[in-house]
Amino acid sequence: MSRPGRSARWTGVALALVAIAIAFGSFEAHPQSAAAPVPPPAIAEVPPGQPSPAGEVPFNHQIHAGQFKIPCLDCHAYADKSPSAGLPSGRKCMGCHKFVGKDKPEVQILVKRFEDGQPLRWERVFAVPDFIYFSHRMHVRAKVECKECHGDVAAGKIVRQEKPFTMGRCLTCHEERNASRDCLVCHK
Amino acid sequence: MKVSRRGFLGTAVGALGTGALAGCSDKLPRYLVPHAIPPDDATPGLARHYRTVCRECPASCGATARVREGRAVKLEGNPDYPIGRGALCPRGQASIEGLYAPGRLGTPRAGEKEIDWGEAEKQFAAGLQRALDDKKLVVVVTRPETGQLGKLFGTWLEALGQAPAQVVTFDPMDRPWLRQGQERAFGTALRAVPDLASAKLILSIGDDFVEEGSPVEQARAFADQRAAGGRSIYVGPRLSLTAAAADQWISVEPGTESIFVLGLLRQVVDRAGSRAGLEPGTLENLQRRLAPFDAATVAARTRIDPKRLQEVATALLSARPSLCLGPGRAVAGADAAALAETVQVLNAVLGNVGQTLRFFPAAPAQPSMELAELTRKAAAGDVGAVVFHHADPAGYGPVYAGLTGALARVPFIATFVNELDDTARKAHLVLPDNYFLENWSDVRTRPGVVGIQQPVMEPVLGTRAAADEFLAVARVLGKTTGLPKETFGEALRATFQPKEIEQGFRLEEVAAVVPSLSAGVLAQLPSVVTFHGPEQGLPLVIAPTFRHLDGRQPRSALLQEIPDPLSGFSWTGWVELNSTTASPLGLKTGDVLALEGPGGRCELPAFVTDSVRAGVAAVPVGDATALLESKGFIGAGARVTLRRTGGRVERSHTGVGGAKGAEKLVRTVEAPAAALPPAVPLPSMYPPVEHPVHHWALSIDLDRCNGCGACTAACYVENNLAIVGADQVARGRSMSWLPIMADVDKSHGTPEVSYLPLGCQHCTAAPCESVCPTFATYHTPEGLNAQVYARCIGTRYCENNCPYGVRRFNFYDWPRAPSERLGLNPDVTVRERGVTEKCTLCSQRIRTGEEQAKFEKRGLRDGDIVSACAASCPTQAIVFGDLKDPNSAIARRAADGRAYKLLEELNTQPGVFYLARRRRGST
Repeated sequence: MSRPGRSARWTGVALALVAIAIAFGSFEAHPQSAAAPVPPPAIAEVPPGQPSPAGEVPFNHQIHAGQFKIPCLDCHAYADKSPSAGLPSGRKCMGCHKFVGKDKPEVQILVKRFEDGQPLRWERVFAVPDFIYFSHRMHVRAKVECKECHGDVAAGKIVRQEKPFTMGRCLTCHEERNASRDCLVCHK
Repeated sequence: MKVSRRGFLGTAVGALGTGALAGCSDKLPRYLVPHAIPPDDATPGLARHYRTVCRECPASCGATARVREGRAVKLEGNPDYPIGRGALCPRGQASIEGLYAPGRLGTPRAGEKEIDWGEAEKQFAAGLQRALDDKKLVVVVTRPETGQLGKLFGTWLEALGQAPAQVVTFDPMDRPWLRQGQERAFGTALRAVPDLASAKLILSIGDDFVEEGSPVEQARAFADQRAAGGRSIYVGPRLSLTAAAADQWISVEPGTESIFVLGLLRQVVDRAGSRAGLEPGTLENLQRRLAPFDAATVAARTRIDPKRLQEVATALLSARPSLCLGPGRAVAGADAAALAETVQVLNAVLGNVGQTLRFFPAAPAQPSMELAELTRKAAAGDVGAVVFHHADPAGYGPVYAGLTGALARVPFIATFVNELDDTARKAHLVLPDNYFLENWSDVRTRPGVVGIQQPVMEPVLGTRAAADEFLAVARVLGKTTGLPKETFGEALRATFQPKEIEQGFRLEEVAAVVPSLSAGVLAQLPSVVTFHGPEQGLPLVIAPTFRHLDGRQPRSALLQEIPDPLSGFSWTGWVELNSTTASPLGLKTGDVLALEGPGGRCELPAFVTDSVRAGVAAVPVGDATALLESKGFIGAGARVTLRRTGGRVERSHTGVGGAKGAEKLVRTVEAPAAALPPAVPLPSMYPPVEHPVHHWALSIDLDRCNGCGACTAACYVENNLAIVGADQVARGRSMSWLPIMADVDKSHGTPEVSYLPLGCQHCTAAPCESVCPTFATYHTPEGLNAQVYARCIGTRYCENNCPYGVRRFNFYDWPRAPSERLGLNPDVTVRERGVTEKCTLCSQRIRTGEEQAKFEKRGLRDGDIVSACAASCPTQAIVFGDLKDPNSAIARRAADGRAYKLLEELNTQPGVFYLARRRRGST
């Protein structure tokens, strides 16, 4: 699904449309703003195929999930109990990092934050729109593998959204598994 | 190349770098932040429930807060708590709005200046120290605090070296005359607990118990009483919600209610005679005192048919036990205590004491001070400091003008508030208290019941618990004798078992007493209410409404937005005038009138109606306080003049009293056991629709609905409904999914009002679905008429094709303050501009309930899923459930002979059905 050059093409289309719009005066935009560089994405949706910007700590799934084979649910502890999978708390990270990897600068950031009683901040990679209800626990219960949606996070250093979360993709899977296709199952 | 609409807009916004189109989508937060140390008892994504008590009025119903991600998002009742039994009133529902209100104070203030808590404590201590140094009094004025906080005020004053009795309880909606009347009748201080449900006949002397007192439990008991075949008579000048729910409305000459009661008492005493079980001396005394009130005299004074009086007396004597209540605010004048005494004598003669009217010994009185004494001492300059605690005497117009004026002589005034009120504007120091959902406390509003108010979340703002500030300032002053060393919350928590906190209350054994009438009863007969004010004026009737429970203008935007079910006004008060009073003046509903009373003036739109007696002007409590004299109580006794200003106020289009079409929607049966003629199945061209597993539906019993609006308010909070403001409401753009329609039936002489909550009917053959060009609305396999907002493009065809007029269109992205966003229900989408919406039958609750059952590998039980409106309904008029489950409560209702569907002739096959109202005639 990842198409190189797609975003560049899109920018071109958008600029052309903006030019038309300005010509017809339907937007109240300053002409310079069209030429200004595209600001960093304030929108949470990271375009498919783009690497996620690192959070405060350049967390490496390859080491945790790949090398050490830590199961996903060990850290994303609520995925089988709650609609929300959850991120590991500072205390959970410290469960291991009290002992291991203390010499690494990334881990030192974590230790410092934890000692200050502060949580770590993570960049959002996966998102469904806010009008969608998604329950992790029901998908775990239905034996949907994490990587079917999230990709093989153990394979790469930085997690990225390999495939877009589109309604079509949800529906394909729901059809294959004979799950409900009623709109209200997801649309809230 | 495919161009998606959303993709285009997103890219265009990015490229433009302007906010020109940014309104089209709400951004998700960019960062995810887990806990540093997670709380043991919370799972992100799942709701937690905490028991507490609602403190929006002194009734203090039990409550359950639903908390998501550490934020309270909805309040429900506590089904196990004796007061409220699982339901809440509209004010209780609106408390979530109060919690996140943009007007809430987060920082202490000294005058206009915001200060930090350290400085505030310093100033608080200095103000008190000055009073102590000057040997002046320190007085605490508090809202009713019946639990440990009330005691703490006394101990705190004692620690400061003051008398513990310097605590004034300020409750403008208190009805002290009821207690005084009991004491006069029975010679001892008592707490009365009426049992409405088991009375065969309820006689209310202007007592609006569906609106006032403990409305939720009284409304429930009243509905149960009606359902069991009980009858009721209301005597008063106005067809309030209580009067509308009663079988018979008698309106006597304003102010002569006491004559009516005395006449009634005479009839009852004469006819019951020695069988009344009274001491011979008492009986003789009564007969002598009541001799002047024969039927003819009473009829002449009260201007009613003498036969009416005899009929009421006969009804009272034949329906045992009965229950006489009152006088309520609408008829309570300066001499209300004597009238209350007469009502109690009536109860005693009828043998209701110990039956439907249980008495308990009054709790040992906390030493306290009367408001009048404070006024006197403050005016004399004896008071050095007053600390207000959620008490706002200045907010009641001229009613407490004496005290408000005397406050000018008090050198230091501090006040604990949630929002800036009129008293706070006069205070030297304003201290923002936690909201009740963030605070520990307890309430003892009923003998034997201790309600535990536990905090359900961390404070939203930088507020602190008022009790802890009292303790902190005592520490600063070095006067801590007898005060707890820990926080008030910790001290309070230690007095309860964890199990009691979990269930939200503790029950204690209290023995009831059966008092007998004191020998010299009715030594002073109640007098007729005298009306003061302009000579040419009309008697002013105070109308308690659900919005004005505490007597003030509602601050809550939600309560203001919900229209009064009968008058149809929202965002304003109104003055009710009978059509025979209004038509000679050429007045029409909506004409703005300037009212002038003995205490002041105000401007209100007129509501021309037959639901108020001719020759009086009825005004809701909150607006009426501007007109009253400074007598220290809110009741009858003022006269007002009316003058037209030329202005107009338009009513809300939803829920307008007697709206066109509403009369076709309300159906009645003539006898308690009667059934409606069975509906004839109509032919259809479409194949029958199957609901394979569940068929979710709603039923509304019009015989139980009293129009209180709790369902409407619950729906607003649960479903993130937008509050659109006065101007938009007047244009018919109210977003209410479940407005209450009123139907006034005048065909039987006195007007009879039925209330009908009207939401989406969830038709099986829905006219809205077939016209939607984008399939945004469709029928689900579980019987819902669903609306998929993401598909909706806002053609409004559905709205036009809906025969019930229940679909709402978002004309704007309705504004919400950042704090208000915290209170949004995360399970429900916030709809954007250009989208149609309507009742979803709380599809989010269905989804959650079904998921939970599936997750626990069990079937759904009846009652697992309850819609917000059904959960909040005080009278259980609304029942939600699965029609496919033959044992469910809703399936039983569907089989009731009174069940019918709205506009059945259109063959829309609604999933929502109604139960016809029972008419019981006027005798």
